[in-house]
Amino acid sequence: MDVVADRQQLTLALGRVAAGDQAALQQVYRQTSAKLFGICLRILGDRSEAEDALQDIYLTVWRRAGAFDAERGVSPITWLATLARNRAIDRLRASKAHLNRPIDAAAETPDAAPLADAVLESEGTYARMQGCIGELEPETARYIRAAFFDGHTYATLADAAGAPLGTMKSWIRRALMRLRSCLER
Amino acid sequence: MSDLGPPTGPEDSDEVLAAEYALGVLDPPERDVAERRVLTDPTFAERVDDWRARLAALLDGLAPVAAPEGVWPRIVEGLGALGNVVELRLRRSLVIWRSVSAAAASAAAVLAIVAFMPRAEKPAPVMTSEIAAANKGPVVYVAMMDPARHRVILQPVSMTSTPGRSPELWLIGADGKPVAIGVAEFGKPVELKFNKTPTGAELLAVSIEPVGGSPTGQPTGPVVATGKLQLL
Repeated sequence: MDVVADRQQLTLALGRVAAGDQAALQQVYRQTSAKLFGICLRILGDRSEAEDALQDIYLTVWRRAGAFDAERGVSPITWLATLARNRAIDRLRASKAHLNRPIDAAAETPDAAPLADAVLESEGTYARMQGCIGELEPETARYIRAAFFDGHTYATLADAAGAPLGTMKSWIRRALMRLRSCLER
Repeated sequence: MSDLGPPTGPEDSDEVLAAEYALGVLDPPERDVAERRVLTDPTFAERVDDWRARLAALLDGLAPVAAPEGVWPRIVEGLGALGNVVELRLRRSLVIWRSVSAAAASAAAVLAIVAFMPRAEKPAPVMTSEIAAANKGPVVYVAMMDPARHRVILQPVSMTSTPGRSPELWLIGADGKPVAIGVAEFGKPVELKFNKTPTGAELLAVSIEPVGGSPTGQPTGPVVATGKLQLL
């Protein structure tokens, strides 16, 4: 399978979606819905919520495909996966279900083996990200995952950890900057 | 590995804010401020995009799950209901728009508006703004603002009507908080009054709202276009 060609095909399909081509949207859906549904399920933890989110996400893709800017070098799957994650988090927050999730839940989620299908891997940086997350303090790494996957914010993290808000902020800020310099190494 | 200290300058604090926003860890008031920055500050928006791309690697660890069969038909149904969404029409018109000289076309629109402006007793600074869709998209409205008289005329340039919705004009100051100016029209110019005296450093933004304008006093629908104010 030619990853570059497949990615290019996805980029072109998004361009056609931006012009209002419904068949192109179906092609994007066929190629990416399993990945996006996996994201929705992980974040929402409920099948029927995840189905609603998935529908909402592809309708958003239909409206916003024009905002996908391949020239900036973002891969189409990164764009789609980020959109899916953000919509799922919005939905989770609206339902307030995340407030009941312990911080540990994010850490317990086993990281599945990286996808066999390289087209669906956002930037091929999964292994590197795992390495860089692994260099952080384990506690802080868990907070970052809890924010990313479970919609936790500074306030709910500080609450759960019994730490002052300012302390939680400086832990996470420092970790984010360390993460960046590690990823750029 | 060297440990970075706390942020030291505005550039660093922007980088931190972009990272926090992309991660989603900000609490509502700060999140709103960051969201406005994304809409109004392209450099900041790029930083957020970069962080989103970095963090997206976390999503690669999740196993794909086949979507249930019923979802696609529901999406098709939803497409029918969306039909005439402005954002989509804007993208389409972008192609047409680029084929004409954007500068000439908007200059013509400004001239068209000058004809609408009531003559002032004495010359006062008048500000204009080309309100364009994101990512260097087409100019959708041109605004002529008369700060002294607290009036603004909003002339549609390439705005397509959406049934059951109203465009609403907002003034966004340095604090990133949108202040409602008023409800506009898709297809004809309107003159709106406002209370706040603009300094010229603000941005104008147009969002798509329920008919009659946002029920909350803040944009509830998509912000489809923004523009800087400049002296005419």
